[in-house]
Amino acid sequence: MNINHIEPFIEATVGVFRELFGLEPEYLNPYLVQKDDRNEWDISGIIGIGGDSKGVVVVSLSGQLAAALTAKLVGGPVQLDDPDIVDAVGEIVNIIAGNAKKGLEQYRLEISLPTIVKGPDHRIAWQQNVPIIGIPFKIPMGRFHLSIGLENIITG
Amino acid sequence: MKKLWLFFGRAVMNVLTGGNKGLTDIGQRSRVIFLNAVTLAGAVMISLFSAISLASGNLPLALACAVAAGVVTLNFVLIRLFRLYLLGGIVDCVVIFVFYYYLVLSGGEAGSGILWINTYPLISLFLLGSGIGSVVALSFGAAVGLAIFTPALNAAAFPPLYSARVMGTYFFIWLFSLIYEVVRTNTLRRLEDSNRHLAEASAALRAEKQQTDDILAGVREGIFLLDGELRLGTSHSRYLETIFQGDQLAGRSLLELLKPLLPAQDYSSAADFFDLLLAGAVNPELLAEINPLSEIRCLFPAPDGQAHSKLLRFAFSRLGAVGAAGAAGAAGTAFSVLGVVVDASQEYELQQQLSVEERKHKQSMENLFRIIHVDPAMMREFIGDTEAELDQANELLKTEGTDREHIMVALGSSFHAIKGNALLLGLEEFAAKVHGYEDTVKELRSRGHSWRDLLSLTVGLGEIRGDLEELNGLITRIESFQALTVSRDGGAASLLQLSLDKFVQKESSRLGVPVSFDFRIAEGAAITEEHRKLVKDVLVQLVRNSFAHGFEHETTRLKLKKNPRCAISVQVDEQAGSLVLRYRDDGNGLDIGRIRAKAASLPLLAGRAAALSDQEVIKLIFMPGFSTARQTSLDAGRGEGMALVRNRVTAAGGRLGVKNKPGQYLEWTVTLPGMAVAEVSSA
Repeated sequence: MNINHIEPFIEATVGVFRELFGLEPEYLNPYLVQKDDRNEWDISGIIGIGGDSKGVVVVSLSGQLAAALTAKLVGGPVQLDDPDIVDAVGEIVNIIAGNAKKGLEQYRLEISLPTIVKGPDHRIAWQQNVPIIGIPFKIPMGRFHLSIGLENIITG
Repeated sequence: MKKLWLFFGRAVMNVLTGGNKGLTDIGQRSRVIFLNAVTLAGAVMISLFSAISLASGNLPLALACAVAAGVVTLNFVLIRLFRLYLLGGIVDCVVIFVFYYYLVLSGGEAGSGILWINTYPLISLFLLGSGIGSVVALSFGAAVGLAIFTPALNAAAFPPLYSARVMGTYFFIWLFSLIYEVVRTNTLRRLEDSNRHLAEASAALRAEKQQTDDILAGVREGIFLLDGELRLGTSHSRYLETIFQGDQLAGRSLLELLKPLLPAQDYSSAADFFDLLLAGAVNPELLAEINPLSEIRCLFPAPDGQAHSKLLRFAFSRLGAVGAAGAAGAAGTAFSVLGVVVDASQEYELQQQLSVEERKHKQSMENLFRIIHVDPAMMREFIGDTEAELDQANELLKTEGTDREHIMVALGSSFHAIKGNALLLGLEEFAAKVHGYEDTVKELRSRGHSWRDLLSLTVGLGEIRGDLEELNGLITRIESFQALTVSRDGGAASLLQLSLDKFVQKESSRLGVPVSFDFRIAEGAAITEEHRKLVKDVLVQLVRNSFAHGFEHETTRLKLKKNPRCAISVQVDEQAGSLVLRYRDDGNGLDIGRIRAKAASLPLLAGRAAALSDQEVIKLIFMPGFSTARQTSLDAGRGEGMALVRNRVTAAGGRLGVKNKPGQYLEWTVTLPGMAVAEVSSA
């Protein structure tokens, strides 16, 4: 895994929170995600990567945080089951994918349109033999999580 | 004036062709022109006759002629309108038949009416064709014969012999007209045939040319012909223009095109090669072998000023005598060489990438080779241990709020342990990689670290995990076809002994230090699976220390009257429920003076070093980062090893003791409490 492929996603993620919500996420320690780890996330946006590297980048949030962020966007209280939440998370992940793309222009990487997955303790079908780096972030309203699993196609 | 003539000519042709512009067939066209001409001439003549008859007072004849003139004129109009040329011809023939016959029967001036009949075969054959025309002409001849041989009808009163000559003349005129008509129609038919063949041949040629053009336009190779001066021909594949980045290549010399793209030396060897090629004295196989352009890097100027490099592959072949003559016949120039060039830049890049992959593959094969020579169980053990190390480090990362410096120390320690285990099995590539991470940790600890550095190390952990998974896959595959050769009855202890023994032998041969290794487990004592990893980590570190610091050179040992062969012994005992490991090497022991000197050079201890007791000096070696080695290598120098030993032993609630006899031996005693005693080693 090339750290240069990862950084644009981290910057884009932090950038979205900074610009859209005026929040400065705190970087917590990164770690290796085990494929069968239980997680506390209720909603995830998945961005597929192709080209010189293959894999997925996942942004995960708890339902509480997703609702709080949606409330900030729509400017009113939002219930946990409000369908706006999926739209809002979809939009956030879209912006992350779009901004990350700018940072990846020098590499031959393709970025797919993000997909949203919902449900308590949902699992991501990670590729085999690819280590997954988990990066937790903390904001006053809660935590969110960036998981990155990219395969090295050509290792120069 | 000229325009007037032109108009006049067009008008005449319009009248004679009946306004039909579609008459492309030359036979048909001439027939129509003749028909219209005869009809018009007939109408004029018969009208003239009618006028003369009227003037001479012969009213019935004048009337009959007027009617006939009317019929012929009508015929002319109908031909123009309906274009029924055969019908028009028949009408003309019938009218002329009647008119001429009237002239014969009436005799005319001095019997001159008979003279007109000689035009009839010409008219009928030409208007109606050789078949119907002959029938009509011969019928007319017979009718005329009847008139001039029958005295009652013979108005001009020709003598029979004269009549016979008239008929003979008529017959010959018919015969020659027939021959002429047959020859003419056959000639026309042949002309048409050959015209059709020509049209077909040219269509086929056009289609073939189109195919050739399509090939030349679409082929991903530059294909071209060269003449004796190496000038390019006009027909070449379009890709040639792509390769040379320009059009209008025809007529330019290939050598001149190459000159700015090649280094001078390559250019001159190319010029020499072309001389040989054109001379035709060298056989084609040899020529292909010495072709300096068979794979050549050309530098093309790019718009942004930077040269753009392409790898081109040229192949040339001399055209045979037949090909050269053919080309010369068509274009007037003799082409003597056929050339093909391909752009292999992409292929080259792919090959480069492939060789990188191959190197990687080779490394995997080395791993595989290593695995085959090691008991898979040992390899599994290594993977399990390394995974445990990774998990331990990862747990620390996951625990929120863990201090980064603390993580760095733990990571350094884990990397060190993993490296040791990898070296134990001879996985040198793997060990070198981990050694790199360990170096990074060391450097980061000295110069300060950021969150990004931690991310990069986490990626490193991920890489190690990826390699482990790969190794695991290899082992699984090997196990599926390799029978286990090593008895596993001895369980953990036996595996441990085996792997340590291998490690010692490997280090011994790598460093050129002959060593004997003795490993004993006292009766009743056993290393359980639970403690195996700890014991192994400690022993591996102690073995590495012996090699790095303890053993003297062979000659020194001889001087000291020691056995030139160094010795390591491990004794495992049970004492009051604790497991006691005694590790001894017969090396030089700890060099207290050197450790003290090293301590004195450290800012932290500088003032106190001299005042420390020997026991306190020995404790210094457990400080993380303390090492007496002058350079860091895979063997020693980081100062992590003994720190690792102490940390692990104290973490397990054990004690560490040392007996140092300088110049004779160094003995470490590790006491681990709570060891199962009665239990016999389990597999």
